[in-house]
Amino acid sequence: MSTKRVRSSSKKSTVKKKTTKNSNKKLTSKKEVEKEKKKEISEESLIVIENIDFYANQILKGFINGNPTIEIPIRGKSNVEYDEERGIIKVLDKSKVSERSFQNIAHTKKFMQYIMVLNFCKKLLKTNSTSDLRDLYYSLKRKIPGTRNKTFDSQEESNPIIEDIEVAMDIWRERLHISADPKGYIVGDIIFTQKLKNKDQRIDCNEMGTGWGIPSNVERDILEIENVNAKYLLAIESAGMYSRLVEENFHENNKCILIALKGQASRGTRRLINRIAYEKNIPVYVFVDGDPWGFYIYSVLKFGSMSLSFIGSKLATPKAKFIGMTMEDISDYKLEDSTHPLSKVDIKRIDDLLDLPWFQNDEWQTELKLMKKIQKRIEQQALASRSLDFVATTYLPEKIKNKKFLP
Amino acid sequence: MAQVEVITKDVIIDVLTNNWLTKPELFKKLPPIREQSTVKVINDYLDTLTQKGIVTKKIIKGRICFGIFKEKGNEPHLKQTKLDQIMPKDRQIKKTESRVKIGKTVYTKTVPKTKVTKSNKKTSNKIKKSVDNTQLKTKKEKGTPKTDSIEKKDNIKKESIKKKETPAKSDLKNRPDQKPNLPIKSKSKSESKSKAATDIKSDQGAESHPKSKETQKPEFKEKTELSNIIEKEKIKVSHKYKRRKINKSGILPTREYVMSKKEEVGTDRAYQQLSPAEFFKKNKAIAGFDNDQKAVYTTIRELVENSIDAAEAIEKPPDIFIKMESLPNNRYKITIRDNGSGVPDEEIPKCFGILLYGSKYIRKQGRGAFGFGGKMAILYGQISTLEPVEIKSSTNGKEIYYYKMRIDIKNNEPIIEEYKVIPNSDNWTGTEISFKFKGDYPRVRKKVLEYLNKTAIITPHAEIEYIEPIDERCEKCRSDRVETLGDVIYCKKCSNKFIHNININDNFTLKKIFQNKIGGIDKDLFNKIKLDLSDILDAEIDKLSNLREIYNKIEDIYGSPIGITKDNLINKIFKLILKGIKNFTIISKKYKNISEIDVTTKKEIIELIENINNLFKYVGGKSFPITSLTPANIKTKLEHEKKFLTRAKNFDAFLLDIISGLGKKTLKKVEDEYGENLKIDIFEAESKIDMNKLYKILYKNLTSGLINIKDLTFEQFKQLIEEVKKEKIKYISKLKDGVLEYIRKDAFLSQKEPYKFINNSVEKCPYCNSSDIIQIGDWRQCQVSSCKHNYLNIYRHIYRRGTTELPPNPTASLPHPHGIDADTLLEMIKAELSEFYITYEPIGNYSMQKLLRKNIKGIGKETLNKIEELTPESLEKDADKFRNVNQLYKAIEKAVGHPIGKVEGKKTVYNINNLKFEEFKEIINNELSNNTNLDSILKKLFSRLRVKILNEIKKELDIQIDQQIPSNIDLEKLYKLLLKKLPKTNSINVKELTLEKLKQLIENVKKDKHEEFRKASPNFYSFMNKRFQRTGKKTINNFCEFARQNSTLKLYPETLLMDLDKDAIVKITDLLQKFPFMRPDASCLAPIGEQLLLKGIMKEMNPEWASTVQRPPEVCEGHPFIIEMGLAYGGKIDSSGDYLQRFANRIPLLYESSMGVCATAIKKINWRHYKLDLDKMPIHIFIHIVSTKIPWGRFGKEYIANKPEIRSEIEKGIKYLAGQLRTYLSKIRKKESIKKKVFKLKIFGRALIEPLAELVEADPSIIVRIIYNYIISKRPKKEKSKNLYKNFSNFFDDLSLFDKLDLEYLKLLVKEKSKNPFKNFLNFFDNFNYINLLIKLKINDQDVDQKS
Repeated sequence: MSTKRVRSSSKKSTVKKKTTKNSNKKLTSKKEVEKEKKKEISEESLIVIENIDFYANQILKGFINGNPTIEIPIRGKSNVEYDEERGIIKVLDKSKVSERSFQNIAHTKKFMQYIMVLNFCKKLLKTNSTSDLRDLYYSLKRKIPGTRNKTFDSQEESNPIIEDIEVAMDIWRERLHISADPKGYIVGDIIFTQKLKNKDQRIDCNEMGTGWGIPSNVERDILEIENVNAKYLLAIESAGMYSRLVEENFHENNKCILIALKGQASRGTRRLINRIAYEKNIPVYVFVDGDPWGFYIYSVLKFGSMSLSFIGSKLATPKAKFIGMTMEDISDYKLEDSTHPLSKVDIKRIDDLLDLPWFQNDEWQTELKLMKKIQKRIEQQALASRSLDFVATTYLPEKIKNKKFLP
Repeated sequence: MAQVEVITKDVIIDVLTNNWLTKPELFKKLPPIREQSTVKVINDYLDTLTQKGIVTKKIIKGRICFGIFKEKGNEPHLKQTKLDQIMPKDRQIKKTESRVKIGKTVYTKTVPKTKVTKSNKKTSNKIKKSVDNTQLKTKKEKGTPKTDSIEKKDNIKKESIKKKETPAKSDLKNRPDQKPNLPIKSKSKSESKSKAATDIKSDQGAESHPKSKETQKPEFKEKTELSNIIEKEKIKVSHKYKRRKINKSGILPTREYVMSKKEEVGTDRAYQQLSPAEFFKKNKAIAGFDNDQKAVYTTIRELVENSIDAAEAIEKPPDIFIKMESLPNNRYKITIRDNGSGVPDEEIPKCFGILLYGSKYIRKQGRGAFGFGGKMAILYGQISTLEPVEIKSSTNGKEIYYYKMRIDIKNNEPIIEEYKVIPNSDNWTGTEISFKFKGDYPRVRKKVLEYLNKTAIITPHAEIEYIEPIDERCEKCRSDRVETLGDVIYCKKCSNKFIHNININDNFTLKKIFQNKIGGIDKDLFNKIKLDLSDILDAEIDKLSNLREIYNKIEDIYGSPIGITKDNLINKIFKLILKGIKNFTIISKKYKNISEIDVTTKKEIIELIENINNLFKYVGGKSFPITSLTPANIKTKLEHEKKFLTRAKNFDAFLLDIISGLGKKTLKKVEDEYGENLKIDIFEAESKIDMNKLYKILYKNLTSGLINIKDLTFEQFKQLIEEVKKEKIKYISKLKDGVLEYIRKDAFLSQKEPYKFINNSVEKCPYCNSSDIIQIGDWRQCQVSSCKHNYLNIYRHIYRRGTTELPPNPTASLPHPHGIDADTLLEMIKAELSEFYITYEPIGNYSMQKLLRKNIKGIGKETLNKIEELTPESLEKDADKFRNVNQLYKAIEKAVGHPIGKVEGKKTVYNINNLKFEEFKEIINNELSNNTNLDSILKKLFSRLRVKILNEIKKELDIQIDQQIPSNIDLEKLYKLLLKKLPKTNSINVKELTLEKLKQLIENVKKDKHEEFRKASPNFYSFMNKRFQRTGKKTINNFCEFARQNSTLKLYPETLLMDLDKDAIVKITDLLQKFPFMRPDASCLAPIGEQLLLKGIMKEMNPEWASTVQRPPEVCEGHPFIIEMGLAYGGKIDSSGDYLQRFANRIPLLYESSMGVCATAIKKINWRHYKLDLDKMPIHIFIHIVSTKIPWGRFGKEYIANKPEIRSEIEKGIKYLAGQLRTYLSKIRKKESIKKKVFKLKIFGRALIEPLAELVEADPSIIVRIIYNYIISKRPKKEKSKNLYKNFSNFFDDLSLFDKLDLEYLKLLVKEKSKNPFKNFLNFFDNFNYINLLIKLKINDQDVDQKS
C-alpha cells in the first residue's frame, strides 16, 4: 500500500509541475497580446476601463465582505422631473440609488448578468472593437453548467443592463464600444466627416441617393458636421412617408433636411437631430401619425425619455415643433374617411399622456382631449387619399408657411 | 302407444332362445340400450312382433315388458326376479324406498279416521300449539307437519301411544299394494337421499315394512325399554336435522310440499301476508340494489361489513378474502371468507335464510343494525340467477359445516339443498359465503376499490385481500373496444396500451377443449355439457383430477358409448342382431315350426350368428380414429379383412372403412402425398405399400382436424389435456417475453422512469416470496436473480393491516331518554311489567290454615285437623282462592262442636279495632256502672291487654295505680291510647264467627295481596332508573316536578307503572324530550381512536404529513356521537378529485359526497386563513362519525343530515387540524425557500466565477474560493456543518478549477479544526492568496485594515 501511495504522489507532483509551467506560459503569452492591444487603446477608453475596474473591485469586495451589491441610480417616474426652463426631462437626484444585491434572489441573475456584460465591455475596450446589443446578447448567452438555466433568456434582459451600466458609470454606451442598432436615414444638403478606425470619410447626404443611414454613435469624436445648407429639419415618423417625400424631391424643393425616424427614434438619430439643431441652429419640425404613439415619439424627441433622463440634455431637442398630424387636420383636409377608431389601449395611452408634466399646456391638452372625444386616429399616409403628392405640394408647405405648429 | 322403457338383453334372449336360436350364450354380454333411436326401432319392431303374436306384452309391476313366456303359470315369479336383475341399481333403491313412503303417506292421511288416533289428535294438537309457539318465528315444518307433531308426542308419551299406534299402522300398511298409482316418484326423489328421510325411515324402522311388521310386533312389546332409549336418541337426532330439513328437489317444489303448504296457508288468496323476503324482493332499491352496478357494490359492501363485524366480535384482527369471478351473461360469483366467530351449525340456515333474523338487535354501535344486508345480497343473487348460496362455517375449528341452500321467498325461510360436515384441517374458524349474482362490475369497479381502500383506512387492523373478476376490457377506461396486437392490447377508445393475461385461465379450460378440440358437439349437447360439468368446466386445466371420472361423465352426457370401447362395438353388434331378427321375421312368415325350415335358411341363420361371433373377436370394430391405430394394427386388420372377405375389395375402400374421419377428399390428399394410387387389390396391398410411411401421412392429415366426440377415447382425452397444458406453459412464457418487451418499449417511448418501487415489503413475489419487487404499471417484476418472474397484479388488491391492535369494543348501553319515542317507551313499559309479572312472588303466606289460626281464636291444631278432614279442599290453599266458603264454615262449626256466630248478645270481649268510639263509650259506661275497677273492666273487655300496657295507659291518663275508680276519665283519650297500644289483630273468637265475617276475612286477604302486589310492582322511578341511562333519583324527582308544572299529568316517582295509560305515556315521551337530562354516556361508542386512524391513513394514503383528532362525545337527538377527524397532506395524495373522505360507524360513505354536514362544514371554514387551498393542494380530509344512531340524510345511508351539533364539532376539528397543517407547511416553506435561495446562489455563483475572474484579472481559483466562501456563509446552519466537505468537493469538481493540492490541504484543515471550518477556510485563504489579491485589486491599506 505504501509503495502505491508514494507512486501516486510522485505522479501527482509531476503533473502539477507541468500544469503550472503551462499556465505560466499561457499567461505570459496572453499578457503580451494584451500589451500589444493596449498600445492602440485610446486614453478615453482607458479611463472607462479604469472605471470598470473600480466597479469590479467593489463587487469583489462585496463578495469578500459577504454582501455583494451594485448601486444603480434610480430613473423611474419618482426620480424624474420636467425642467420647464430647459424644456427637457431631468433627473431629480442623481445620488438616489437602488441597490442590487446578489443575496436577493430576485436580483441574483441580474447581478451575474451585470458582471458578464461588464466583462464583455472591458474586453471590447481592451481590443478596441465595437459590438452592438444583439452581438452582446448572443456572445454572452450560454447554458449554465449543471442546470437548465441560461445566462440570458432574451435580448430584453441584456439591453437594460447596458443602460444600467451607462447610468451607473455615467458613460455613453458608445464609449463602452457598444453601439445601438443603426436606425433612421438622413437626406438633404448636409455634409459629415466620419472618423473610422483607419481613416476619415466625407459623407455628403445629398449624394447618398435616398439617404444615409444614421450610425448609432454620432458623437463628435466620430462624426463631425461640416456644412449644412437648409432652412429647417423635418423628422418623419414612417419610412414610407420619408421615401415618398424623397421621391417628390421635397428636400431639394424646400431646402430642408429630411430624417426618417422609423418609429421610435434611436439614440443616434436623436443625438444627431440635437446636434444639428443646436450646432447649426436650424429649426426642427416633427411630422408623425396623429395617434398617441406618434405624439409620444414626438415627446421623446423633444423632451427626452425617462430611462435616459441622465443624459437628457444631449438627446432632447426642446426647440422641435409638432407639425402633424393633428385632429384639426381631419376636418381641415377632409380626411374623415381615412381615419381609424381608437382601441382601448390607445385611450389608455392618451390618459397617460394627459398626465405627463410636459404636456400640461393648453394646446396639447385640447388636442389630446379632442382625440379622446372623437375617438379617431389618423396616419400620415392618410394624406395620400387626397392625392399622392398632396403632402409634398400642399400640406407641409402650407403648414410651415402658416406656422401651424403645436408646441 | 306403449313405450318400452328398457329393453334388456334378456328380452331379446327370450325372443331368440325360446323360439328359434340355439346359441343363447352369445348374447349374455349385451348391455342395456340407451340410445333413443335403437329403442324406437326396437319398440316398433316389438309392436309388430306382438301384433303377429310372436311376442307377448305384459305389464309387470307397472312396467311394460315384452317377452316370450314359456308357461303362463310360472310367469310372475320368474319375471319378477328377472326384473330385479335387469333393473339398474339406483332404480331398485328407489323402488324399495317408495314402499316406505307409501306406508307413511297412507298413515298420515288416515290418522283422523281411527279411534285411537283421536286421543292422539288432541294431544298432538296441544303439542302442535306449543310447537307453533316456539317455532313460529324460526321455522315452519315442511312436508309433513302432522307426522312431526306425532313424533314429538312419541317423544313425550313414549310407550303407551306406541302400543296403540302399531296396530293402527299395521292395519293401514297392509294395503300398500292396492295403491300402486300413488304419486310416489316425485316425493321419493325429493327426499330419497336426505338424512331426514332416512332418519324417519329408521325411526319407524323395521315395522314399516309390511312383511317384517307382523313378525316383529310381538317382539316389540318385550323390547320396549331398550328400544325406547334408542328411539329417544333417534328422535333427538331427527329433530336436529329436521331443523335443516334438506330439500333436494331444487327450485321447483314437490307436490307434497305444495299440498302441505296448501293446508297451512289455506286457499283464500285475497288476503295474504307479505313475507319480509318477498317485500325486499319487490323493493330492491331500499336495500341498495337499484341496478346492476349498485348491486355489485352493495353486495361487496354488505358482506365485507358483516365479515369485519364477525371478526371484531371475537376480538380478532379481521382477515378477509374476497374473490369475484366473472361468469357469462354479466353474472358474477362472489366468495367471501373471514376469520370471524363463525355461525353455529343449527343457526346457519336461519341466519342466512331468514330475513330480519340475527344477532345484531342490541343497542350499541355497530356497522349494520338489522342484519339483512348480507341476506339481501344472497336473496338478490338468488333472484337474479336462481342459484343457491353455499355457506361454510366453523365455530370451533374442528369441523366445517357446509350448507347449500336457497331462501324460500314466499315464506321467508331457508330451503336446504345440501348439508355436509367437512373436516377442518387448518383449524379455521369463520364463515365463507359464496353465491352468484347479476351485476355490472366494470362500471362500478372504481367505487368498489375506493370502498375497500377507505375501509382499509377506517379499519387499519383488518387485512383485506380482494381478487377482481377478470374481463376483457380496457383497464383504464373500461371500454370493450379493445384490439389485441400480439401480446399488447390496444384500447381504441382511450388509445391506452396494456397487457392482459386474462385469457390464461380462460383459454386453458375444459370448456375450451370442448369448443376447440373436439368435434361433433352440437348446441344441445354443449348445453348439456355446460349443465352437467359446470363445476369443472371453467376450472384450470392443471387442477383437474380424476380424468377417468370426467371421461365417464362425458360418455354419460353423450348418451351412448364413445371412443372404440368394447361397449361401442357391442352396440354395433347388436344392430347386426337386429338385422338378424328382421331376417327371422321373414322366415317366421314362411314357416310356423322349426321343423318346417329348410336347410338353406337354417344355414343362413347359423352363418349370421357366426358372423356376429366373429365380430366379437374382431376387436377393432369397424372404423377407428387414426390415433388408436398403429401400422401393425392396420396390418392385422388387413389380414382379418382378407379372412372374412365376402366380396372383392380395394385397399382404399378398406382404409375408408377402417379409419373414421377419413373421407374421400382426405384420401386423395394422402394419395397425392404418398405418391401412389391406393386403389390396389387388398391382397396385394401388403407387399406393395409401405405401411409406416402411409401411416405417417394418414396420421398427419387426420390428427390436424378435430376429433369427433364419438371417437374420443380416454387415451385421447388424456392426451388432449396434456397438450393444452403444454400450450398453457408456452403461452405463459411467451407472455412473459411480451411483458419484458412491453416494459422496454414503454420505458423507451415515454422516457419516464419505468420502474416504480413498491412500498417497503408490502407485496411479495408469489414465486419466491421475496419482497424485492419492482412495479411497472400493473406488472410486477421480481428482482431476485434466481426468480425474475414477471406477474400481473391488476386483479389482486391487498390491503395490509397496519396494526394488530383492535379498537375497544363498545359496550351495550341503556338508551338515553332523549332519543325515545312513544312506541318504544310503551314497549319498554310492557317489557318491564311483563318481567315483573313473571318474576313476582308474593311475600306473605295466605293459606286458609294460617287465616283461621291467626284471625280466629279458639281454633287449635286439633280443630284444624278436623276441619281439614271435613272440607273437600285443602286448607293449605290460598285463602282467596277458596271456593266453598259455606262448606268451610259448616266444617268449622262441626269441628268446634257447637254452633257458632250466634252468641252476639253475650259478647264480652271486644276488639278495639272493630269498635267505634261511640260504641266504646257505651260499653265502658255500661261496665263502669257495674264495676268500679278500671283495671278489671279493661282486662275483661280487651283480652290482649297486658299489665304493662295497662300501666303505661294509666300513666298517661294520670291515674294512680291504687286509685280504683277514677273520677273523670277522658274516654276519648283512653280510646285513642288503646287503639295505639293494643296489638292490632282482627282475631275473632270462634264463637262470634259468622259466615259473613269469614267471608270478610277472606276479602281482607285478597285486599292485602293486591296491595302487596301493587307495592312490589315497578314505579316510575324504578323503571326509569333501570331502563335508561342518566336517570338518578334526583333527576327523576326533578323530572316529575317538571312534568307536573308543564302538564296536567300528575307524575310522581312513586307513580305505579301499571297506572299509566296511553295518554300519559305519550305525554311523558314529549316531556322526556324537553327535560334537560345529562349528556348520554359514550361508552357504547367505538371510535377507532386517533392512533389507529392515523395508522390507517398512513398505511393507505401514504401522505407526507397527517394528523388526527378525536373530539369529545356530544349529543344529537338523544344519541351520543363522537367525531374523529384526520387531515393528510402531500405524499401520494393527489390534489385532483375528491378531497373529502367520510365514514360513519366505520363504514365508508361513497356517494353524495357534496351533500350533508361534512361538505357544509368544510365550506364554512375560511381556508385562506390557514393558507390552504383544497382544490389545488394535495389535501385529504377524513371525517368519521360514530354514534348509536347516525342521523342519515335520506334513506340509503349516503350522507349525514345537516345537524348543527355535528357541524360545529366537525368545524372545530377541522380548524384544529388545519392549524397544525399550517404550522407544518410554514416550516416546510421556510426550508424550501432557503434551499431555493442557496441553489440559485450556487448556480449563478458558478456562472459568475469565470467572467468575474476575467474582469478583475485574478486567478479563477481565488475567485472560486471567494464565492464558495460567500455561498457557504448563506447556507442554512445545519447543512453547513454536516455536508461541508461533500458540497465543497462537489462544487469544485464541477468546475475543475481547483487544483488537487489545495483541495487536499483544505481537507486537512477541515479535519483539524472541524469546529469552525469556515474560519479555517478563511485563514487558509488569507495566508496564501489574500494579500496578493488585495495588491492586485489596488485596494487601499485602510480597507485592508478594516478587513482584518
